[in-house]
Amino acid sequence: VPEEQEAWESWVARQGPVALLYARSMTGSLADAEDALQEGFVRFFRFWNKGGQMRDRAKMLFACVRSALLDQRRGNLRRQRREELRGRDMPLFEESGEAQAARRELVNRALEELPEEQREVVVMKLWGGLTFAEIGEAVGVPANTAATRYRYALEKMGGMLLAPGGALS
Amino acid sequence: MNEQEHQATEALLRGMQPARLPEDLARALAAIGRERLTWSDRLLATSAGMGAIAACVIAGIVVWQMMTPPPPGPSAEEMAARQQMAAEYQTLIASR
Repeated sequence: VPEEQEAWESWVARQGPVALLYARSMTGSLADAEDALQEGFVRFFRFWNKGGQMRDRAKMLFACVRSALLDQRRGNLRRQRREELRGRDMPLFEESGEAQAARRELVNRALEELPEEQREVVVMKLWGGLTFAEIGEAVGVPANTAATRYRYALEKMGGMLLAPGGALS
Repeated sequence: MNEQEHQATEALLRGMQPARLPEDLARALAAIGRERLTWSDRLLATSAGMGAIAACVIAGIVVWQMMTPPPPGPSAEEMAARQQMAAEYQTLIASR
């Protein structure tokens, strides 16, 4: 049905960049992130067809991409595709002028230095717009744990960004 | 970290826009909606396929039966001989 396809493409355009940011922040490789993202979207599409609520969809998308990332780590690697895309890279965030390039680099680094369980909460909360309860469901931890991880992560990132030479100093 | 610093950090991070999807990846993800069959579609396709196979089997049996001549039955002489043998058997029992 054309309307359904249009809705799907609009969803991909809206949520795709955040999901890619999430996958990249978890793998550190664009090729692996793209593979996991595709697999995650395929899994998510089954849920999409059931016509769930928009909020549930956002949470479910992260859960699907996350499970695809975990599967990928367990050895389900598409080596050939990785070879094809080796060397290809792009920034995590949009380019927005020379002045912001340094800030972007700093945020990249701050994000990279977070432990994985904090990093995923930060991405889901700040750019995915999920609540702590939704993050908890997507990650499989209580909402309070998600909130605590977020707080610790923000403290660490703030420490870097507020330090002399940081984006907020 | 105080509340003000917390909010400033949050605002800065929130202001960063995630990078757009590469063209080929965006196309591949959009295509998932076109290519993937839903479970109801799969069920329908499976049912239609099984129905078509069953129809072919029935048609094959009907045609095969029409083309094969029926097996010949016993002739009149054979039937008469059989009846005669049965009568002889009854007579033998009665005589004992």
